[in-house]
Amino acid sequence: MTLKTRLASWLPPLLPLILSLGAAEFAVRMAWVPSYLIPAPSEVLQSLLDDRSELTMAAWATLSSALAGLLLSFVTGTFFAITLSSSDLARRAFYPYAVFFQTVPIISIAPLLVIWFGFGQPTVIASAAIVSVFPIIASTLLGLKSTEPSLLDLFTLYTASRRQTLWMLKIPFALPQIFSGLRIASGLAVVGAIVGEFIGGGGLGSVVDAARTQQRIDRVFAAVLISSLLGVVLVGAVNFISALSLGSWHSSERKS
Amino acid sequence: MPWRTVLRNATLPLELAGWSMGDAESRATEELRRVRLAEFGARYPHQLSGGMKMRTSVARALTTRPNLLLLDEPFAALDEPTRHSLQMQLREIWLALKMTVLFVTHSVTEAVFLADRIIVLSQRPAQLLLDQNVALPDDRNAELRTALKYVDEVRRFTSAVPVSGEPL
Amino acid sequence: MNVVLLLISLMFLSHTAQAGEATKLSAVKFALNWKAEPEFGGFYAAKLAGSFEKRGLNVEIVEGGAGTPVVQMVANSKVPFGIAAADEVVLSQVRGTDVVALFAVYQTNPQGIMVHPERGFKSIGDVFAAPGTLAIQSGAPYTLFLQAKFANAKVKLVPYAGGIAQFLTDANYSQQCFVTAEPLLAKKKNKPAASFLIADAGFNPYGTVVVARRQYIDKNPKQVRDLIEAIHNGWSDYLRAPESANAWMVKLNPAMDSETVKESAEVQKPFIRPANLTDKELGKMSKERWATLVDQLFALKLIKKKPAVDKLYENF
Repeated sequence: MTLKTRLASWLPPLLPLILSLGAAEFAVRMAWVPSYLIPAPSEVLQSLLDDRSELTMAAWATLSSALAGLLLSFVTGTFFAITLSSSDLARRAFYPYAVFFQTVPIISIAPLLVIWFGFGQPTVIASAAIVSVFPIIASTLLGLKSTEPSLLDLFTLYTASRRQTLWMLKIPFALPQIFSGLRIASGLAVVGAIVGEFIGGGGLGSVVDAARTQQRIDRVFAAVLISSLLGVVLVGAVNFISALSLGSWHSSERKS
Repeated sequence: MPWRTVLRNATLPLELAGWSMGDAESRATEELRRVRLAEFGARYPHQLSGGMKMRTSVARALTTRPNLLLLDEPFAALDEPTRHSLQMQLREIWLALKMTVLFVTHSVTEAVFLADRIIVLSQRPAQLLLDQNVALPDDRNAELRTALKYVDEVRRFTSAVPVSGEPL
Repeated sequence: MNVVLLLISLMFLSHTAQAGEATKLSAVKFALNWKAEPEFGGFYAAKLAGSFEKRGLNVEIVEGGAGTPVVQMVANSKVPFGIAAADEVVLSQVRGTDVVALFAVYQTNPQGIMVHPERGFKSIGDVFAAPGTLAIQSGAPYTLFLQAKFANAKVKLVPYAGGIAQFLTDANYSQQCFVTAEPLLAKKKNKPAASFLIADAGFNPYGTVVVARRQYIDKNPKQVRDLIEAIHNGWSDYLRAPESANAWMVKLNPAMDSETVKESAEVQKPFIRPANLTDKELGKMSKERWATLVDQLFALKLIKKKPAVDKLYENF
């Protein structure tokens, strides 16, 4: 790639970022915008540097909780979806309750989670799992239900058992959908973890909570930035695994 | 099944029947050899042409050494040269394995080239319009397609299809 | 003749009544940082007695909730007056605002730690030295103060989410509280609590202060003076006879029942007017107390520079 093509791909997305950061910095320095409304980007950067050890430890805590919550919601969500896909009656009976997980405002049930799971990581993991489980259920269910009919016929023709059809056809066929759901769930798991930390303590959530109390908006922004990064990391991990499993055969993973 | 290699696509019926993977792979390789795809065993379907995918399906169908082979317009989506080639390969396979092949097609020329016996059905509700043997030798090659007796047979069966020319 | 006199006097009466209504009241918003409760009793008492209206002010008392950013609202001129904690005023000015304290409800800060009596704690130090959990607002000055004072704590600090639900169910749980409020609620639920003042541990900023922008005060000096005067009288009344204000607050905030409100109003009296304080000195603040607070916040690294103490407050 020539320098020109490199610039052509990197510059357009970078330019608005540089311009807006520069404008914000300038506005705060000139006191056009009070610093307690929007922190100057340089302050946020300073905050990141000053508190880097605390932020790193907090980030690890939140990441591990989010990951554990994601794993939990993946296992339970996939199991739930498989069960629902095999029985129409079960699906009609239980799917509406799955939707509940999507709509329940996590911030209001978090205190309940503390009563059930206690302070600390168990609550945070539970919160991350609850918030991230629905996309997994919905996507997996969709994937399992969209098996190509001709392939289903093929399996019927060879008198495959339900178990064989599930494991050798339906699940592999649904993998792209499953990964799609996992991708969405991973971002949500970070959000859920941080909300859980507001109530249960620890991680980036408590950094944000304390910073808010102290009116340190720059610290809040710094922590928020790190947590977005965590989301990116998790989604990146999912993409990597997706590329490994689908890379050889699925159109979404092929460059051509 | 796009997530399985050509070889694994072919082994499917045997896996479902409970064969060990080793046995399944050797039988599948045999059939892939028969359709001349043995070297492509490690490829994925998306890397194959239409004709090759079809040959894989045929190989898969043959792994269980069925007594009856059902083919529903298998060559319809392929270009003519490929179609012709696969038709001849099918005849080869049939001659070697001798199972009954039930082949559905809308192409009279294809039917005449392939079949011993042709059954013509009308539109819905399907009624038997014609059931006759094809008067052509067992050994059918490319030259046959322009031979007089082939053309005669094609004409004979074409006239059996309703004048409106509507496909079945 | 009598009829004519009657008619004329009637006309006069109606005229004066109209004149009274015709005098415009300035509409002024007053933002609380929580729901209506005895902590704000004096304000409601002032409103009830018409003290604001008498001075030409139509004060609307707006209740707040968890996380209502009253100091920011005042700093951005969204509301002219609000209630905040004394340390919030200091932090706010260090950030560059001109928010100033005008009246302090609590001379002794009622912020405390409440514990289960069965644990046998005799002081806050004991709480920190023992295992268990302590729910306390993370990042709050008193939290940092206690953490600094009682380093090597065995207790596990967890976020405080409000209420006493966890306290009622967990025997090893202690939490922050206003000693005039939450312990009373716990007693009502048959889980009496022992409480310790953080002020006794050495951190005693003024509590529940009325704030406004310096810019606003300079532009409306008479209004501010009148408001503080009315507030002062309101608190004076409330300390003597809280019944009517309590009744109104119970209606506004059903979370507290009248019995608890009555008890809380009683318990908080010495915090508002300690024994040696005269009625005239109600709500007034001293430079020393503010200076101490600034020093403490600086020592806790909550502020990087010390603001001028005189600019933090003004007694009206």
